Amino acid sequence: MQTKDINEDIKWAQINKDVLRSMENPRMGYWIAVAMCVAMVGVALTAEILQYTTGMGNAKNWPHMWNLYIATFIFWIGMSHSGTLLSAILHIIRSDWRKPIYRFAEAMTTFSLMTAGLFPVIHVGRLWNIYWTLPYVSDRGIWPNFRSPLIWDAFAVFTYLTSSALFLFIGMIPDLAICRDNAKGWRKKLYTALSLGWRGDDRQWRNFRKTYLLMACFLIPLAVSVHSIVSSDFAMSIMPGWHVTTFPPYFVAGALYSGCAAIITLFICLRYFFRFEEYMTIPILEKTCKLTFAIAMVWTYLNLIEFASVWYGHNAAEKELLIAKFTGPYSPFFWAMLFFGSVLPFTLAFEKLRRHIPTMFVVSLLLNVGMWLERWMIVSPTLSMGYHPIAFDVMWPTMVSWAIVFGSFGWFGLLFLVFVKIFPSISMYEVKEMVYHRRRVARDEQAHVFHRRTGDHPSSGTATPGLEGA
Amino acid sequence: MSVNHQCSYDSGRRGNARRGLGSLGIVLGVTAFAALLLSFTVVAEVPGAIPPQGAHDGKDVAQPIEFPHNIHADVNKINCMYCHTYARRSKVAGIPPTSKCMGCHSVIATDKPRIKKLTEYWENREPPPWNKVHDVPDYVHFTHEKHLKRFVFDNDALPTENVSEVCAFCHGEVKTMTVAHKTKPLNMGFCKRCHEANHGPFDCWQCHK
Amino acid sequence: MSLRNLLENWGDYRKGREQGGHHKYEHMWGMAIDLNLCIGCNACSVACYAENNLAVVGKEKFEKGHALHWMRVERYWDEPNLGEARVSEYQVHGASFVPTNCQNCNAATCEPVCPVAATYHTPDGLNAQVYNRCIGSRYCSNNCPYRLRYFNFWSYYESSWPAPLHMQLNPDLTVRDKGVMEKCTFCVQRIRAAKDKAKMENRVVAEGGVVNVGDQPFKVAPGRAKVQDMEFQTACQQTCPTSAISFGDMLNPDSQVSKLWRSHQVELGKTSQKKPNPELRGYRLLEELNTDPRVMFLERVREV
Repeated sequence: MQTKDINEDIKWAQINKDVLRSMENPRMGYWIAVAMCVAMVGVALTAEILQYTTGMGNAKNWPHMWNLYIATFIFWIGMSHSGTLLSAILHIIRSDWRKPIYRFAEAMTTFSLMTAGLFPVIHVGRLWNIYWTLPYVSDRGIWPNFRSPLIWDAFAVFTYLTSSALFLFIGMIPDLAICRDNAKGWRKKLYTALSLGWRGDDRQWRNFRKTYLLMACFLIPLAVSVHSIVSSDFAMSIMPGWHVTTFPPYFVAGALYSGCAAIITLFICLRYFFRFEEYMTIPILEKTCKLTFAIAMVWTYLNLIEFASVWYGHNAAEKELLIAKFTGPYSPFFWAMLFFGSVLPFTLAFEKLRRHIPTMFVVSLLLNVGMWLERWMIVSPTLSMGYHPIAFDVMWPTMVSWAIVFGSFGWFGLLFLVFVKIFPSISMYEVKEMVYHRRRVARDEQAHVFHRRTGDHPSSGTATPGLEGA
Repeated sequence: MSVNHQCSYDSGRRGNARRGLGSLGIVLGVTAFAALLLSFTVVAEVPGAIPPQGAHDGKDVAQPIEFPHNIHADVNKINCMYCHTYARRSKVAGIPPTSKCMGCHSVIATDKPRIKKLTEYWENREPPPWNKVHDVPDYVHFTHEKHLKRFVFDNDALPTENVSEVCAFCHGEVKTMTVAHKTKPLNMGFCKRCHEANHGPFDCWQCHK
Repeated sequence: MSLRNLLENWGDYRKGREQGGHHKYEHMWGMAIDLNLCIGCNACSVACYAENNLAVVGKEKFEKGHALHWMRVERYWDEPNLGEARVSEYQVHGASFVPTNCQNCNAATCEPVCPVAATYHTPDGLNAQVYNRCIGSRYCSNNCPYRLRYFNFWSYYESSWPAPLHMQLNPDLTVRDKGVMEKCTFCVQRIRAAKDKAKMENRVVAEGGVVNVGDQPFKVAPGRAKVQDMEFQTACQQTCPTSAISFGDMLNPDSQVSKLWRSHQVELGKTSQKKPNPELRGYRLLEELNTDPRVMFLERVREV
């Protein structure tokens, strides 16, 4: 049974070779995946064109003014949070097992934000005027309404998108230099431009470390605030089931949860398709699973808090709504959400299941189904049962909105597929660092001390990892 | 005076800034600055009012009869409100009925080709199909009567004969044109600047319906 | 509006009563609906359709909730033990009707959430909806506890008014296209016309100051139009065969609506109304949510 996070004897040239290999010669399977994603996007595009030309009635009905689009918007925003968790939070607390897997998680952050950002645009009735939500100086001297949580959303998502894209790019610079040195043709030109003249000298490394740390420190509060702001779309409203004080932490926990589950899914895919067994090892998967389990329990706890505060709060409308969630027309979905979100993660508590990759693949997918249901169960039941009894109505999404939601997964997949063939999906220099530290630790026989905090090693930084064997 | 006048109306600051993307920008900028200076001389013409800034080059609108505004309003000094008689008492200024035209033109200049055409319409008992030049979108509520009240009838310093100076705020120097030509943008920024300068109402629902 | 003012008057700010703020009221239009008089004939709703260019969406779209009835006559059925036993879903006796239009809340929940400020409070105290500014995010409707905002899910101007029916459209307000939220405006075009008329006739209150409605002070703007009570009526009020609907300026203590509010001791700015005796029938919808609506209902009285 493999217990070490990574094989310490691996040659650095081997790391380069393995990662660079994954970026070239796409095989048939890759093209089939691309074709499927394109087809999914095509379906969504058709639906969107239909909706654009005829009207929003295709998708939603009164009183369900918000529906699948907003739920899926929150889902994608949520999924973006785990990239920050892996790359920034674990960087700051110096958990070095994140190093082989944080790159694709970060790419996932950026791409899920790019997917999420589409949904408000799709959702609004007059999307040709969506730029009015941005503050710009105009002849007319009118501004967006800065009191509206939707405006905060626009700011938060744009800020998060630019910062996470920048963070992804900055963290990739040393790797892009490696790619540049090994590439030919258009790739050479691309990597030369993107690696910004990286030579790997001391000064560059020093500045790089500082920038990276600074960005990491900046991103953590940003990520937390983004989903808190998204939660205020609901928490700031007056409706029962939305006007909940615990929504910001609840949303953040749910975000990290769905993101971690998505990381497990992508971890398994990349490991399988790119033969990354040497890097994306079972112990790392196990650690990710443990993290997911912990977050799942936080999420469950916050759920229980919400139920309890509604139950003991004795607000008639909110209580009715809670009962309706458990017993009403949406109850199958609500129970499914509770099962997938709170019961299913217990599979992550068992070592045997954790180490079994097919199980983990299915479980991680189901966890995300649960998290998507969670978002839907936040949006729809409240709209079906507000304050005014004449507007109590249950509505089901139509094919148009389902098609657009379905297509968003294709859009995300397409971006990700393009990414893995153009950029290294494993951070080469950081894996080398990790290997380097582990070797030292093994040599000094101090594994029991430095197993968790190898980044702390006093002699780190004396060498310049990444150059050797590059 | 009339030269200054025209200059200032043709080149408002912001209207140019929007269009002047090319090398014309500098020229227009200088003109705009000059217009700003000249606008102080114009204020004297309509007391108690600051004319709105902005210029526009609307497309030519073909009319069934090439109506010479210049002959009527400039040469013969006919008051705008003589023909556009609804301006003072309703939302729209209105186009005069053909009978009003014929009131004069049954005896005046009957041999001119344009008048012959007008007589033809009159005899066929059908109105000339005039085309609209100045229009605002459907969601804009604009009343001529209140603007005329504010700038003309409540403005004791302005003789009613000079109403064309007020009309020119939004319609340009129509009395120098033959058929009317849109020379003011008539967009929200244009309205807003004038409302700001002249302390007009600023509520969205005053103008949007 | 300074920051200090904002912080000090935060509570009032939400209700547009802040000191030195931009809200100097010109009028405060309010309504009172006597449910004792309402016979549920839906004439008000029809009048609203005619006056406000509301599209007729058809049966199928109505079922999906695409209807645009700004004045909605809600029908509720009593419990079976009142009156005769319930034999079908629609029993003979026991229906109650609540004509609900936009409550024009003084602390409207729809206003702060609109991303583009298409809905806001006018100096008339109206809860405005600027159609050409609306981008259709539909947040306002979600946040309206009364669900009295309606969305144009489709374009109706071709289907709803085929020629020559388009000739009946009211030119004083726009025909909304798809993707726009709309709601009752208290017939703002009539208000506007009445105010314009008053101003054209130089009927103006020159001085500003403070007007008390109940114990709530409202700053008023100088130079506001002096519109007489009942100088104009809203379409629903005009049509109501039993005169159940009263409408007027609540800043005018002599208006019919002010008198009704006073006589039933319903006060603005309260989350619940004191009812010392059962003769007082006034109530406001969901006022415990502190939305401070300006439509008062007079409870229906009936023998059991």
